[in-house]
Amino acid sequence: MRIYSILTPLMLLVFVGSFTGCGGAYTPPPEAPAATAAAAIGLAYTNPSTSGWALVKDASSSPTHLVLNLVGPAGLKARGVGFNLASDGSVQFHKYADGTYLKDTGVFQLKLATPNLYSTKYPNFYEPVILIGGTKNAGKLLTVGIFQKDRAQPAQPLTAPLCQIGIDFGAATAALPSGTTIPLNLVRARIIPEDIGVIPTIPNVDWTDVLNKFRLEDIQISVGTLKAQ
Amino acid sequence: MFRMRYPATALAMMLAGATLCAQALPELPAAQLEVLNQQETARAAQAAAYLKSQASSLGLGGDDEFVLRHSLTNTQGECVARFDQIHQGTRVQGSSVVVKVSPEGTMSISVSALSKGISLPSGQAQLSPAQALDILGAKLSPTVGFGHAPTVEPIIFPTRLMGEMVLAKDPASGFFAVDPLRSAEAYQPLTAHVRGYRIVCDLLGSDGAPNTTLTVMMDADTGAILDRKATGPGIKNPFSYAKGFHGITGSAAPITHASASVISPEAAQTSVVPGSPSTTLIPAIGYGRTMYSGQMAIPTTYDPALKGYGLLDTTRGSHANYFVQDRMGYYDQFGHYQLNTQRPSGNLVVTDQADVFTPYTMDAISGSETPAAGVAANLVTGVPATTGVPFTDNIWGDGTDFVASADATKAHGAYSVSGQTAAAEAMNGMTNAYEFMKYAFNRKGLDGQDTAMTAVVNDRYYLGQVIHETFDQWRVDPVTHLQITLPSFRFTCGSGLPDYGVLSAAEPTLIGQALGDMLWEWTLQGQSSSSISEGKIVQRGFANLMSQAFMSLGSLHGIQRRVIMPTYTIGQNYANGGYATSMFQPSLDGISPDGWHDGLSFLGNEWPDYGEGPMDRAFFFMSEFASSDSSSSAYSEYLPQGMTGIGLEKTAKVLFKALTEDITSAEISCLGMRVACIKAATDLYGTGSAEVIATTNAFAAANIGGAYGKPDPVRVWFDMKNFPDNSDLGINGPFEPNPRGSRYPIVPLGEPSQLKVNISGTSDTGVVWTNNPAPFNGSGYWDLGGGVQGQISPEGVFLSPLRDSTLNVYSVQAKSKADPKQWAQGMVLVFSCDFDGDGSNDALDYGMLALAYEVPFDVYLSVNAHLMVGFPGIGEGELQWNLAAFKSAFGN
Repeated sequence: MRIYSILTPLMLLVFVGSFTGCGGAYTPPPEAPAATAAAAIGLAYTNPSTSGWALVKDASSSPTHLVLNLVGPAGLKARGVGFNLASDGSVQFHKYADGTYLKDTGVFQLKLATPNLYSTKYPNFYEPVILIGGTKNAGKLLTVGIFQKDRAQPAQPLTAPLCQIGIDFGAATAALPSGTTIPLNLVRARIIPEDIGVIPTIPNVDWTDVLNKFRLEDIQISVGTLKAQ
Repeated sequence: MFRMRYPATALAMMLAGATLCAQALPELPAAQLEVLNQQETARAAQAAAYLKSQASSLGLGGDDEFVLRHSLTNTQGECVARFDQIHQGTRVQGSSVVVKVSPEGTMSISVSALSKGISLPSGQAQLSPAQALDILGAKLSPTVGFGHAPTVEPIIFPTRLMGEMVLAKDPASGFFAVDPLRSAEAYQPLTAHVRGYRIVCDLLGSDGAPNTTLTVMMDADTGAILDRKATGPGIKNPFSYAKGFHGITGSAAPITHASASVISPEAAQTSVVPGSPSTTLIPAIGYGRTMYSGQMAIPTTYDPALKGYGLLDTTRGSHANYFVQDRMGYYDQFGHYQLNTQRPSGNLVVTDQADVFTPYTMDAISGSETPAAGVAANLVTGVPATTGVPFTDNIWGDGTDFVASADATKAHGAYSVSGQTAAAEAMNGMTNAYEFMKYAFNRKGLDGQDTAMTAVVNDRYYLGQVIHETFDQWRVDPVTHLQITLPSFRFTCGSGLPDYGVLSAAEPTLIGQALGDMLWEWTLQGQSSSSISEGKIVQRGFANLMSQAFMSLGSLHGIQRRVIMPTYTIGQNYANGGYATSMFQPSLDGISPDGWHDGLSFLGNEWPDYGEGPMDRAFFFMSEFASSDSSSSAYSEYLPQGMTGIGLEKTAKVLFKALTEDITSAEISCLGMRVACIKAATDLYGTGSAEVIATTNAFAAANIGGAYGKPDPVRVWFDMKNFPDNSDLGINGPFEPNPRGSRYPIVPLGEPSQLKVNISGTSDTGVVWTNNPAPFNGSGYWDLGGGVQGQISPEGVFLSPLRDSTLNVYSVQAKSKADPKQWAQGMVLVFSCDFDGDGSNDALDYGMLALAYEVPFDVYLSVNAHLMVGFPGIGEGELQWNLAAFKSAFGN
């Protein structure tokens, strides 16, 4: 029981809750709109007012397809970021045509810095990258991540959009009265920081620096207000 | 003559009328067939021209053409020509068509599986064949040497044929991991077809000898491995001996037959065949004393120069096989290895004592070959080679089991009298198969080209089992660029294992099974059976039925003229009198299912000898009968009224016709085999004939399709949407021609997952979900919970137990409420990616995986043991599957 022994009680609580149909609710129910409001026909998103890590609306958004950019604070660099975003099921997290739930904007360098022998020789050589996303809790929780795998790639500045996610107006949204606030809560977010230590060069096999910095850092991402309209 | 058993049959026959039965094609006299045989090349050319004229109607364009793979003339006089589809000069993998030319010259397409509307992502492959090999070599790291020079065939690869992930359990650590020799990469091309390479190579084992044949489909643009298969002794199946070691003691007696009339073995000649030429090797008839088949006549050869006999049959197998030429080659005076093209061709028995293939012939001392020192050390009285004492009596074996021993003083060398026992059995097996092919199918040898077979006996590596190698080498034709497979038709019979009560594997049904396997593989050459299809199950069922036919009818119509009744058992080489497989009731082994169910491919691909159960039973019913007595071992709950079979000969003819004329893919399903067999039976015996009815009912009795005139039964099968988007693990249901069997639904550890299943044939689509173990549970190979099962609600919400190993698979079963006889058996792969150890499986964990990239395994584990979950390891392959598994678990 090397791995799970200390986790089991907590996990079981989550599982039992989910199994009995009461799990997965990360947020309170939607704020009740005025009784006379018309049915919603679109989504409206207001950017958070704080600076730093934030999900901000992209100009390509439409009333039925909200595109959010993740941006970071100025003066900081990182090697990747992942976050979990919860809603209540009244909107759908967008799944892109390639089957992923987030879109790479090109800031993070996902491939090897110095292409290996085969990447060098063969430009189309298939190389897996860590651009990953999915949903949990019956679609109510979006979990996405984009990480540089190669330590040789430099950490990147974070002010430009780092990745995109989409939120779709769906049947459940249409059932809401216009003006309803749709919960959108950042559950957890972590980054690979700039300093992750230096891999020793042969014959040096002292991994102390790498091991001391072998961790992810928690961050807070501000989320704006989402409403059905 | 029809044997109508019940009113429905009679009624059907009456309604069908004579006109329908007239569709049956009569078998032609031998003389007429011989004429048509001689015209086969020209008729195949006619078929090619016809096919070209039909290209447009087949949905093909100007870039498509066809190349003849092989042809035959069937007993109805039809030329049956099998063609590969070629697109822009490159073969399309898995795409072929069979054209028939009647004796009158009428042409028709028998079956086709062609790729239409091919659109390729590139005008030409980005990688050259040499570059593809370069990449493959890197991906086989740590480097494994190649045996024979690998061959690289350019192909067009339909991405629907993508391979999948095969898990293997490391016996040392107990952890599951992706099997690097049998798994595709977690990569899905975005187009329906890509340019690819089919690479075949022999990998060297630790002893430096080729021990694994690896077939790889590689994306010719990206170098990604799209499919990968490995066969050979290097692939360890921990249950190779399971049946024997478990001491099967089947309680049901074999089918009772009328007593056989056996000729006296002494009637066999032990002399030179009269009229044979005297200047070269002379065909002779020897006298075999075998352990399983008794005493019999066997073909041998007399060498007048050396005045001795050998187990070489120059009258069968006029074309040398590649194995003999290559493995019995020699080094010339310059130290260069040379093929032995001078060896007389014919079916041959050899042994491989001391890793040297040495024949039971006189030329072991003729100077053309020199036995290795190890062989010489084992030579005993009565054996030639270094002693110079020839096989002079032409009597082979003493009917006792051969036990390998390195101690020459014990007179147990492979050439000793008891060592000859297995050799005589092997020659008898080859002869019977050859004679049956000739008698039943008007065919010379397994390939119709009279290529010789080779038996290796008394092998000390494959103890208690028979293995086969249909092909020994591959070449790429410099003109067509197609990969040419050079048949070896070699089977190897292991010695016995006295400590386990297992006798020599040179047993007639095991030999017949190997020969049947080779017949199947040669016919469908160039194809590959996906490890998630039911292809291997169907193949093995076919081979088992052919084994019975070779042993029984081959003996009757061959040189023996001897009646040996089929036993419908396979592998009787157990000292306790048991057998490995009972075709009439496969479940007697305690594992094999008697009826089809979804998920059979799990069993069939790891252990075909178990998964084949339903096919074995269908062919037994077809040949013999199904009982209406529920206490009988031949009773089927799927056809409780029973049925009458059509006999072994007709069954073999239907199966052979189905294989050669109605099957295009080695990935065929059990249901696909049913379709092919019914079509073949219809061609042979006419629509609505008793044979067609029996064929249909036989499959129905094994729960493969409905009975004759009845609808298909209820079917339950897993919803393939459970599989990763990018691995194409399951694109078809079981009713598709080439279904891809269920593999691993991947669900996250400890989180409830709704499993899905499909059901048809009933308005009541309800199923009951349970965690009932698979029939093969407890075998130890698949953990399947190790006694701990996942929790599953009756509605199919699965919750895995929390366990401390990296990957685990658990049994799940969905049973129809409308018909509890119908169920699907699957396995769920429970995946954890909690690499950061926070108790949650989410995308954030992949940040930790990124940190670990290129950091040595033991280093990062020292600071974060959570990285042992998922697919542990730091390579690109592990990363790919960790990404793919996440997508499967959370991407739907």
